[in-house]
Amino acid sequence: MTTSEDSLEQRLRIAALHHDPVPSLVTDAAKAAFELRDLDLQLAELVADSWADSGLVATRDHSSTVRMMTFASEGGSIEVDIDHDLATGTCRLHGFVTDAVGDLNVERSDGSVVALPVVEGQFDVEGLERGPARLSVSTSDGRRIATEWISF
Amino acid sequence: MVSDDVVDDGPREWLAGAVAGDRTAWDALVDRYAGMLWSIARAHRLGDHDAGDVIQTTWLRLLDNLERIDDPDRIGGWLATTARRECLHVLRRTKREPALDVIELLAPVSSRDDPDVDVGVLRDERDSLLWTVFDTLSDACRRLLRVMIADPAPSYAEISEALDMPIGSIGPTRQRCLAALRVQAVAAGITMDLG
Repeated sequence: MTTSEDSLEQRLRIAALHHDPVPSLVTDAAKAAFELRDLDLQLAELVADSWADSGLVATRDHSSTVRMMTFASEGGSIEVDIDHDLATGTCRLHGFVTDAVGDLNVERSDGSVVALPVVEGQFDVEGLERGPARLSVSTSDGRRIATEWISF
Repeated sequence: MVSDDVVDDGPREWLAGAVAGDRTAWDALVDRYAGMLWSIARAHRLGDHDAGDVIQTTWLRLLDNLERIDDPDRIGGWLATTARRECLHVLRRTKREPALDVIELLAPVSSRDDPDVDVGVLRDERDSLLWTVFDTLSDACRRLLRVMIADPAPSYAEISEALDMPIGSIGPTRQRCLAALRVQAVAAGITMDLG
């Protein structure tokens, strides 16, 4: 049975479809993401996140804000501090990796990769554009490990 | 383009197909839940760019966890929970509370008195005005209804995950919010008899 409530809800649904539809770019990007599936990559587990249960913050100051995350797997670990700069809309990444060989890669959802040099286990970069990304490294035993996707 | 065979399946089959590497099954999953995820981002007052980032991150997380989804029938709830958490992280990153961003609203066209305007035009005008009135509701009502009116309509379990809200309170809150919307709509001169 259709009630007047159902009818009003349906009218609102139609209005939303007309005035705030899902952009096709969003749907197209989600479909294209399937090509990023990498079965050889070992997902490192998120073991610590300073924002894990934070929800919203009450403060309204406009200084940068830092999220600290630690990922671990059998092959090694990645610790990263993500420092968001509200003025520029970019972020700084710095952190440590253990048992890594070569660069640390910042992989973006468009398939691009930024390689960061790891010096004595540390990496540091400023000015990264916001958007989804994950960090990956190769380990000394030949594995490739990666963090989950993070929205910078 | 998703093939007819895939369209006839459901989330469980699409998830299994995606695990097996079937791109059309993945596309079907995206098509099924794109509206819900967009509604969740909008319910948190995210603008186009942040909403797009949240949704893309949500899909990428699913891609990483395709083989780890314990209950394929709850894939919608899993996506809703992941998107909600990402919305809260974006709000924290930008130091906003979930009521500050601007959703573009179309101004209603005043043609109600023109006898030559056909019913379709009146219906469009009414929907524009209804959308404007909708944004004047309390934040709690606007959030619930924005998720509820996703297309296709999400289940109560998915709405519960999207808003971290007990399932038992969704029905009564929906009733109150739609009643409030109706009062506001009538006050704005919106007629509901155009079908």
